[in-house]
Amino acid sequence: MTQAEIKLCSLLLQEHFGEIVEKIGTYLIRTGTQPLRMIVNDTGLLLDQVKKALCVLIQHNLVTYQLQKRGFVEYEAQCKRVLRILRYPRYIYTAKTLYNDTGELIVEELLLNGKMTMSAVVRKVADRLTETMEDGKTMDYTDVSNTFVRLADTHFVQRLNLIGKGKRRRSCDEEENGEHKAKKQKQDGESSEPPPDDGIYWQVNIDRFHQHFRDQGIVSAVANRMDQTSSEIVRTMLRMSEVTTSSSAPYTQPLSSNEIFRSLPAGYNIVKQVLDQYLTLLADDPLEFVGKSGDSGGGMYTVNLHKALASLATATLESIVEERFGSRCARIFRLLLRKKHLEQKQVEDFAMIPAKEAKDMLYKMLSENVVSLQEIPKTPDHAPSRTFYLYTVNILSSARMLLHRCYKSVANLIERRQYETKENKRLLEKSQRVEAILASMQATGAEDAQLQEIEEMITVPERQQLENLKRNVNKIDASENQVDETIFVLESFIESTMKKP
Amino acid sequence: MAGSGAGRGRTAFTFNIDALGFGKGAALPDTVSKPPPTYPSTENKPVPLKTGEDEDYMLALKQDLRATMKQMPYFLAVEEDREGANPKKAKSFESKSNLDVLKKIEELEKKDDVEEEKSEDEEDKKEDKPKDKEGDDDEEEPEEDDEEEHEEENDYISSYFEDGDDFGDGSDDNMDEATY
Repeated sequence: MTQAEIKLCSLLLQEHFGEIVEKIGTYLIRTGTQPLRMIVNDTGLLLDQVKKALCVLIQHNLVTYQLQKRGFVEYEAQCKRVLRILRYPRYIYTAKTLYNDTGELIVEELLLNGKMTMSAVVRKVADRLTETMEDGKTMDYTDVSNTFVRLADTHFVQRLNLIGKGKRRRSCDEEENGEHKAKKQKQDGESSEPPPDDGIYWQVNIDRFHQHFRDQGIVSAVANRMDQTSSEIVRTMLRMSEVTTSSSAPYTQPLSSNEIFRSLPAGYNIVKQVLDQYLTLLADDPLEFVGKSGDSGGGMYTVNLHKALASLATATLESIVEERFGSRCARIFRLLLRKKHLEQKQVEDFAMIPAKEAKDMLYKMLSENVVSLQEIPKTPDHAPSRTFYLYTVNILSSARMLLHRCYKSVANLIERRQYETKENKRLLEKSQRVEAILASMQATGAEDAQLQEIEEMITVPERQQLENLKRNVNKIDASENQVDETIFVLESFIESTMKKP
Repeated sequence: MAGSGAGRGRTAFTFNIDALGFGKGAALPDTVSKPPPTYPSTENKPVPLKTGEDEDYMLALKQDLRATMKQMPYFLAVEEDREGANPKKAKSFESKSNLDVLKKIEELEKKDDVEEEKSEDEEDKKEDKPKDKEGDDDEEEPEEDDEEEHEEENDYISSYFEDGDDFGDGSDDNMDEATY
């Protein structure tokens, strides 16, 4: 784990779980797998505190444990999983777009609590929804259950088995469906008895959400590059492949043109021939999002997931080079991507940029490690005057470097936000007190003049300061969200490359 | 290395000097007279943030999530450890009234000294939470006892040694009598 990752994990843990959990989490991330007594010794905290903190971390799937052969238990932190805390808002928002408010609240409760039984989730979400509804109306438990079942069927929520070895076991579809029906029946008859599904815990399936984000990214890329119809075709293909293809496969299972035609959404009235034309166009596109793998069934087509992710990552890199160094540097960068290896003279010629400037730009990019030099010696003594120096772009290493930079950026953003809040702590507390007073006075029915007086306790410059603070904090929060989008694209690409056989 | 031909043949380099960018007699780059700036200069300003309904909603979600997690039972604030530890100690102190016995107990609990010092440090930070009020009452007793204990500055149990008759006896206010 790089220093940047450790720092970011530590900040996220501290913000969401407090300092004790942060200390233990950071210790485990830094030192690896440790037994309980080592953690107590090295962190200097009390046994009680360490136990509580470990419980919290395990509850939220941030730390796993294993019984060793020699009879003690060792704990290991999942650094990557801690970094996912940054993405929680995106998961919740996606659930909202797919399954409305009920789905949104279910995912939110599961993320807030780590693991929960289905009955607990349903009860909490139904109560929360009842609060927001008009007086007299209550949210039906069965509605919430139904949404939960749908989330489980589409794998956005997955089951855990805590009894036994403590290792996660993913249940297959038939088992889940059987469980759901049994649980639903019990749900209808529940009142004051203990929940019948005690011991069956559910958690959010982060990988499934990532798969969804990836599909979203591919579809919108196709829509930008071509048109709406092609993006719909690709979306259909991806939807059909959801259950047949694992999320880390380099390409989807082949789908025949006939199958795709049958599965197109109902509103789309395109003729089979038009669909075939679109598929051919997609397959011929140099970006190679879609590939043709055979001719049976009207043509067998697959979506090249790995290539698509590589294109997305490359586009991100290009855009970053353009914004950081200027459009001429971006031109050189794209040129190097295309031609792989070029000498300095060739770069000047192909990019049509004067020699001095080209040199300058190349060195600037080289110093930032965006491009690298490949030496090819002509003679065994590697004499510099008799060596070729070729500029090249290594996408994987550039992606890694940029990812590292993203982690550092988010850590800086969080620190700055905490600093801003700390600087204005006194003012924030004062405004909170005033609001509390106002609220209580309004509840007891005070006159407008009195309310006015209380409001004036905060002076105009103080109000201005509060406005500034709010604007800055919002800006920083929004930036964190957007950097996380870049992190997702780069991480998916790196993961996909590493998993390739 | 450029300095290999020092003295004679100074300008003979082992590689083609043109490749570096300096022709013969061309101006060298400016000399460095101060340390480099702490931040690189940004000629290219960053692109403005994305705005829209989605982004606004996610922003609200993020801030709500942060606020909610601070209220959850999973959030272990630093004060919790004082809350948990001090009531235990307060109870054991209140039940004994004899100062000597109190000191004995303290010395027996010497191993918790490190944690007590830590809790005193943390108390200085004084986070604004309602739990503070409950914690305040418990803090005063152990604090006072701490100060008394520090007067001794050693491990000996004071009741083992007899003080002289004059030790600590008599008020310092009465300065009429001279002390020898």
